[in-house]
Amino acid sequence: MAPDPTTPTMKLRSPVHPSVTESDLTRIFGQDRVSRRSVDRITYSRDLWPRGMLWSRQGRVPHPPDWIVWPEKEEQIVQLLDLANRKKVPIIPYGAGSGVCGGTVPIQGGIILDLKRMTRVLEVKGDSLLATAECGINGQVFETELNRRGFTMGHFPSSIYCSTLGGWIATRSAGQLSTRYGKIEDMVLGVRAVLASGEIYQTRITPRRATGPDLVQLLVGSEGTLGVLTQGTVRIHRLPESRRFRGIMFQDVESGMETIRQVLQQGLRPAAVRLYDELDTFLVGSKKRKKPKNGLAAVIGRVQKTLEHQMIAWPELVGYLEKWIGGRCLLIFTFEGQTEMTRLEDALALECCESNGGRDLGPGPARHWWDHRYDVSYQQSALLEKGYFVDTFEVATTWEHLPRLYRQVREALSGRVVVMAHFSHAYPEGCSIYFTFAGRGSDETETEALYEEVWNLAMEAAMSANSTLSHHHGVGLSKAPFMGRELGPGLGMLRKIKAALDPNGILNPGKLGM
Amino acid sequence: MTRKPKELEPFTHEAATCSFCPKMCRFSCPVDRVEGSESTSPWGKVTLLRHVQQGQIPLDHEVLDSSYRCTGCLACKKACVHEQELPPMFEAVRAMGAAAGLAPEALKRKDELMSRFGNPVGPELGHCLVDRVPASRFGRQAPVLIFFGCTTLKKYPGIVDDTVRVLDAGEVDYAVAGPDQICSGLPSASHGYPQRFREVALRNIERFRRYPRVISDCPGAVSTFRRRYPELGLPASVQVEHLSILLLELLTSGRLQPRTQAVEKAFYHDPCHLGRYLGVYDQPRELLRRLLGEQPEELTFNRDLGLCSGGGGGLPLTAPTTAKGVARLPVEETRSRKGSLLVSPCPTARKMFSRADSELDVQDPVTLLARRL
Repeated sequence: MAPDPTTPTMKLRSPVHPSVTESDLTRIFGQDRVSRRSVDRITYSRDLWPRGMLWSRQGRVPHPPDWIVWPEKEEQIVQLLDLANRKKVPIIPYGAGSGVCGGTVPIQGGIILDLKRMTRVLEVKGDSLLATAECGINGQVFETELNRRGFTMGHFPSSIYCSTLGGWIATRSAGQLSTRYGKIEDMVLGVRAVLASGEIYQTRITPRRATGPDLVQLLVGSEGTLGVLTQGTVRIHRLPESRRFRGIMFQDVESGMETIRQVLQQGLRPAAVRLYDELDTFLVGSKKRKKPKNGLAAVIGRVQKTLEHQMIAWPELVGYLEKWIGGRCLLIFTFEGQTEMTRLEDALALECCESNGGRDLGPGPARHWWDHRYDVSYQQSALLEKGYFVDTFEVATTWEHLPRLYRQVREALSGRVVVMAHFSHAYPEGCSIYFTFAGRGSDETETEALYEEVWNLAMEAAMSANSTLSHHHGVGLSKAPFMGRELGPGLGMLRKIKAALDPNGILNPGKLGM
Repeated sequence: MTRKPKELEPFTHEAATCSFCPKMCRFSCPVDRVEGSESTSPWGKVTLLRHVQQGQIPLDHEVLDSSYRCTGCLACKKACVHEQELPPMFEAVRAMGAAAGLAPEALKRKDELMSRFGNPVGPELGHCLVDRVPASRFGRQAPVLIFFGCTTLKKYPGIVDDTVRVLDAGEVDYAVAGPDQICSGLPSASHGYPQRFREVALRNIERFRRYPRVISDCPGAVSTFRRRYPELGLPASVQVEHLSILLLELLTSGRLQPRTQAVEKAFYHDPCHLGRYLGVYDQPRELLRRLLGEQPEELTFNRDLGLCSGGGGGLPLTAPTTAKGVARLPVEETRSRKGSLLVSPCPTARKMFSRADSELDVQDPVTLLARRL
């Protein structure tokens, strides 16, 4: 029989854990804070893992949750975990679902625990430079509130508009100004969390402690597998007195890398350091602020746009293009803090750049990046709409391995997809490389297969160059299969800790390789 | 082959752009801040509509319910690099729902009132005008036509008194629209009744043609006249402004010289239809500066990203708890920062703020001006 042309095609599986009933949950959360409506099961079935985007494009929902609940009080979470332990049902703590690794995908069904109704700023202490907030607060809302009071957290992940404090801590996130302000693990002084047992863990807030292993750091990056974060206390800073920008053009990526190493090892701490490789410089790094509407610049702009699309459609063209666009790698710095300090840091960094063959472009390119620093996150839709996949991964290694890491990953992917990279999150010891790749097959099935092939090749190439699999996106599902190689015996330790804290395995199963 | 509603075809690109976006605008969405639900975030609402458009899920009560959860405040557009404007998509879906008989009962009742009386309340709005405005002001020819909004007439008739007093004091030659001509039709458009909106708009346009300038105290009406009426025939020669613009003109020209009277910590709220829709941010602030003797306090989210009151898009009818929660955001901030007054040149916002906190003093600038004459 032919399919009914009016029948919608999306199918939602039945709940995996029918033992949990509506009354079980409404007793805890009330009627309005519990859902198993189809619309909610669809929207909570994925985060921003590109594989989930492909499912959505195909109209598939392979992993809908059974239920979604919205706690407003910690006590409700305690009761929920008690229920989940009794009924052996997975609980997936959920911030804003902006992760790109599938960290909140309910692969075993269960209950999504959405924390976005716990959003209060509880305390801002200007004298000790600390702020405490509930974990469901949106990052930009939190930062704006701090700004009004004259402070900043200094944490600016490109997802700041669409992620939460709890998500940052749970995924061990890093922001664009991490070289100055540190990563989330440097910022979090304490957390409050509900453990799987229902016990509350709360850190005593002190500047540091030497009372055994740091339990806060055990929860930072735990991706919801060891506890449900409900509050975070973070370091804050007074708003910077000045901000300076510098753009430098290098002839090759190696000179830029060497310059960053020297700048960091001199003890300078730019807020942002970003070195774009030749393709990234061509496509992103050197774009001017305003789109030209006419004249030669407009023609060049259109040619560039056309080339971008052609390259992604035929990645083998990239090699030829690179010969044409070669010799231009943009490095940008931003500096912030006291005026005299930023002036000095800018001057010293510039001196270092010029001694390595860099050409000073003035503040323009870095200021342009600053003004548009989140824009790239808006751009992936156009490619996905046209049938492509686009993804990123962020690896890191020490300076001596960095050139090899860059080369190996590019070589592994070239010809299959378009791949470009920038270097950011620099340290005296090494640096992170942020790769972006895009491609497509002849249909959705081929596209998904190519995506998987490329992902595996990328992970393999990175690991063989002594890199970590993730500098700041986390593990989720996308990197879970590689955790054994990443951690070695450490994965066993992690699993034992998990088993001790969560013997029934209810918290976000399948993530972090557990 | 599955059913792909043709009504959503014009939004194909917009739907894909939102659906594959990492939810970048969500921090700006008042509904998202209150509900914290993926399905009612701008991303979630549009993702569901994309699935409908692709024939993957049906347009049912659940999807419609999600589509009703937008006040039309346009904050998401300001937070979007692509400047996507989502309310037209939601209006199209609501119209599909209404045509299929799936609209919530509260909206159906409003449409019935619009059909019978040309406004969403009833005949009492006209009575209110007749009681407060001299009969000679109706139907006369004048350089300025004053068009009072429905919420003013229903909830805050004092604004009519204050406006009349101020305009008379400023020796403005004006007429007043009504008493049989009330409402811009915006509720019909945003509730999903485009035909009803058209009827109301055409009636208004016919009368507006006689006046060089139309002034309204309702930001929603002003933005509707300026953004939607021209394509239905409103001549470009008719200048449409919000009342606060006229009030500031009266002060800057010296025709009114009110005394300055400070208010301890007065906060200013940017109405969505005045700010984001029309770009009017500075004039109401300048008006307040002249009345209060100092700049009003700013809410944490202001101007382009100012907080909505929750009163638009029919949200108080379709999701009253959420609407109240949205109103609570600026109200609670005003309270927590020890504000004694919240000023909004939007009667709907005033109504919503008062619902959220009946003790908080919320005023329209025209009232502050009238008190200082």
